[in-house]
Amino acid sequence: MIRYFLRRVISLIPVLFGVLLLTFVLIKLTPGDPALIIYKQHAATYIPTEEELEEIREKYGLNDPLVMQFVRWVVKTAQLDFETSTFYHRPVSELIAERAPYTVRLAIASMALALLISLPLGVLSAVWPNSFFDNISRVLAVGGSALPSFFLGLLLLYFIAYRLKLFSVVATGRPEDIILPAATLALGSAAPLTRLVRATMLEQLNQPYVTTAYAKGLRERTVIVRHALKNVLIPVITLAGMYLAHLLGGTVVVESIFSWPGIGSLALAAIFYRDYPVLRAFVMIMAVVYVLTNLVLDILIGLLDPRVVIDV
Amino acid sequence: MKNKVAQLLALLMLVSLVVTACGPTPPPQVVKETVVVTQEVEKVVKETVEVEKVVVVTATPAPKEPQILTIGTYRDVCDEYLATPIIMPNFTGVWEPLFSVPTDMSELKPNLATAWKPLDDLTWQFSLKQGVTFHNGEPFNAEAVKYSLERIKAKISYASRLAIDRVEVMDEYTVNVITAEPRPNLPELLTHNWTIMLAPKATEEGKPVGTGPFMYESHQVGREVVLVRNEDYHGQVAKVDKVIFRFILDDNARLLALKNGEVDFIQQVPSVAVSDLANAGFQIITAPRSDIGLIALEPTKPPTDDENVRRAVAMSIDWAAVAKDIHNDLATPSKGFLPPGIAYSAQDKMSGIPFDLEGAAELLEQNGWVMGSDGVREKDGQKLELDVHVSEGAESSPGSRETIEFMQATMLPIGIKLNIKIESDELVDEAMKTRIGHLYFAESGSYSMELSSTMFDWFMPGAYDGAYHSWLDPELDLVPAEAAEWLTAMQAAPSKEEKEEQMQKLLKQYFEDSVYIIPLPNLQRIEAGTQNVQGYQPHYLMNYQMQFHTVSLVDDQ
Repeated sequence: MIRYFLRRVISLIPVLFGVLLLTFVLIKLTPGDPALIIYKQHAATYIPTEEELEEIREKYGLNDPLVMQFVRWVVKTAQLDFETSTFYHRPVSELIAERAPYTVRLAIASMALALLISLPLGVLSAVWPNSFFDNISRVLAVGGSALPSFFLGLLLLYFIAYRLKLFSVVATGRPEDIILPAATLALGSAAPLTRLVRATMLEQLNQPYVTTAYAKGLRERTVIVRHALKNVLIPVITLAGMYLAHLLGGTVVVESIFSWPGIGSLALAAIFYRDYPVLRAFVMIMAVVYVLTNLVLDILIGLLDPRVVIDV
Repeated sequence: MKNKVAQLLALLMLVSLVVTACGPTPPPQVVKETVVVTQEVEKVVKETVEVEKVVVVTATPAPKEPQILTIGTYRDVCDEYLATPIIMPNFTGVWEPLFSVPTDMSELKPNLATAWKPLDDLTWQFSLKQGVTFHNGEPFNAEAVKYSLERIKAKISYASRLAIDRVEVMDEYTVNVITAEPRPNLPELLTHNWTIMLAPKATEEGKPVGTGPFMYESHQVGREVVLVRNEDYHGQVAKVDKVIFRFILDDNARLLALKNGEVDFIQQVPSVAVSDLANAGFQIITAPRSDIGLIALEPTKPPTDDENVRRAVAMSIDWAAVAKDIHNDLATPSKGFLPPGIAYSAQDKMSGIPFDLEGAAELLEQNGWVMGSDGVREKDGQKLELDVHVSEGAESSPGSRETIEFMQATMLPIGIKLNIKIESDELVDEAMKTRIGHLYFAESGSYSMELSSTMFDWFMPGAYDGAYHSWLDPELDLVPAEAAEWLTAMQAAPSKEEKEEQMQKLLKQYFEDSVYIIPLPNLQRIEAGTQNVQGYQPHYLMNYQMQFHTVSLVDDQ
């Protein structure tokens, strides 16, 4: 188990280096003079002189050779020093640290909600396949996947916050503020999760071990919860983990609709104002979150299903 | 039984509170005596219940509810001086510039500076208002001005326009500002929303402290900024007790927040929502924007090197329809560089280039641009196909994209084909600089009262080495030599009429005669609020200090 874990961790190093290189190259390839971009943030409608641009290039080290810029960036990133935002004029790490807790809270809340919806719904649909209940859950799942989150978000805002006045439109720091954005995100990921739970459960219910369990005279509930559900969890955890990683990246649209001050709205503003240091850090962190989530998932699955570890 | 004890205790507390409140504030050392008094009161209460009623009647009236103005804004913006993210420095009313600009921008008004005079070509002397303190008690004096201007010089790229060389403290309330080159308009330039006066000590500690009508109270990143009234403000003290700027990025969410009563006022209202809000009983506040959109035409590249082509393009844009359909009647066709109503815009004096689609076709026909078999005109093997660079970025003029699509549809029938390239602001700028396109959508405007300073970028031949606009390139000789004098003459002109006269010459040359620029419609800044919000005066200047200190909230009852 420890060997398996170590191998997974070591394999992260080249992946992370690749991510660093790719991020750097992608941002360098983006058209537009970065000095001009920085200038425009201060004096939006003025046209800079060549000297003014040169001054900015010097200040931000844009004149150095690319390799040097890359090395400097890698060293800094390794120290969690993500440069200074060209828009906010504050260290990017500080900006991200301020916003990350909001995103983490939203991601966890919506993931928990998604699992709370999808696990019972999927299991019951599998237990009573093609029943009325199954059909209803299918309609919900299809609807949930088909509705884009920005539309669902606006619908919830309009009907639940504006028409029914159950919540406020703008998040102002009350605990209940999380409900609408979390529900919007949860409905999106609950739909495919429900379908996955149902399909895997159906498959498991046809396995010989389930028949054996029934033959032993176990109650249906025990068979499903104790035996079948355990096996259903492996693919569900994998998918849920990937969704969680996605949610941790901040869901740009939902955060902006619900005025949720997470990483997503920070990234959106960074795109809007071409704040490259923030964008670079955002891409980096996203990649790391994905990679780490994958690692955690692998370990979790290893614990749930020892065959995985042995195969490696 | 328990109930009775509770009631008794409550009564006891109430009475003891009233007794302590009515009496003189006891000094801390007589605590023991107070205890004795409360014991006596206990007995009285047991005897008569009426005492309670008397107490209620004589109780002090409920304190007046504090007036809190909540504003739904669209950005959580930085403040690059203080490393404290807060909405635009000047904009919040926490800080102020030395001079103030009246809403109609007619003339510079004293604020923190009470008098100003040039001592020579390079020196301005400012006399400062006395007795002003920053919110933290630091005195506002010549040292603070020196500190602020030096910080601006070091931190802000805009400062290069000010050309400040050094600041000298003459006495406690007098400073001399020495510029590296003549700046006859320095006071006007110092009305920019970034040229604010900072409290030196607080700024060094990273605290947002100014002299304005509101004081910074708190900030939640990405969520809100809370300001409270500055009771010691040196001007008119604000009417509301508190202002909360709430950041609501999404346009629809901002509208719903207003309709739901969660905010009193919203900024940046999309023009499509205006009639709906007005019908729902909200007040709509519009003001001209000090920035203006322009289409720049490339005179160095065929086919727009042909003046007739440029004119035909200008003639074939139906600006009235653009204003009506794209801007929902909240814009007017423009004939100038500054918005109408602002000092010397001269828009009413210009004839512009009227919409005449047939005339445009005829003009092209007469000049040898004949219709090709594919519906696109051509001349000497050159197709009348134009590349249009339009920005979709943060600073682009609203409606640019719809406008260019509208132009594309109206110009095709007369044989002009437009290829639209939607890209970032910077790429449009670069296209302009490298002269690779035919039409560029650009924006120009001022954040200070010195409106003509941005005009240098557009109208001053040879102003910069790498002139963005090819018509300003001294080597190409595309404008008459005297054009350089018009702009300087305009800046130096003492009266509105004389400024206007120079402005007319500029507009005639660059717009009507040579068609190097075509102005986009005059847009409005649209804000909306509940009927309770009274006394708000919108300002022409983009991002200028919003006049929330004049606002009061009235009850609907």
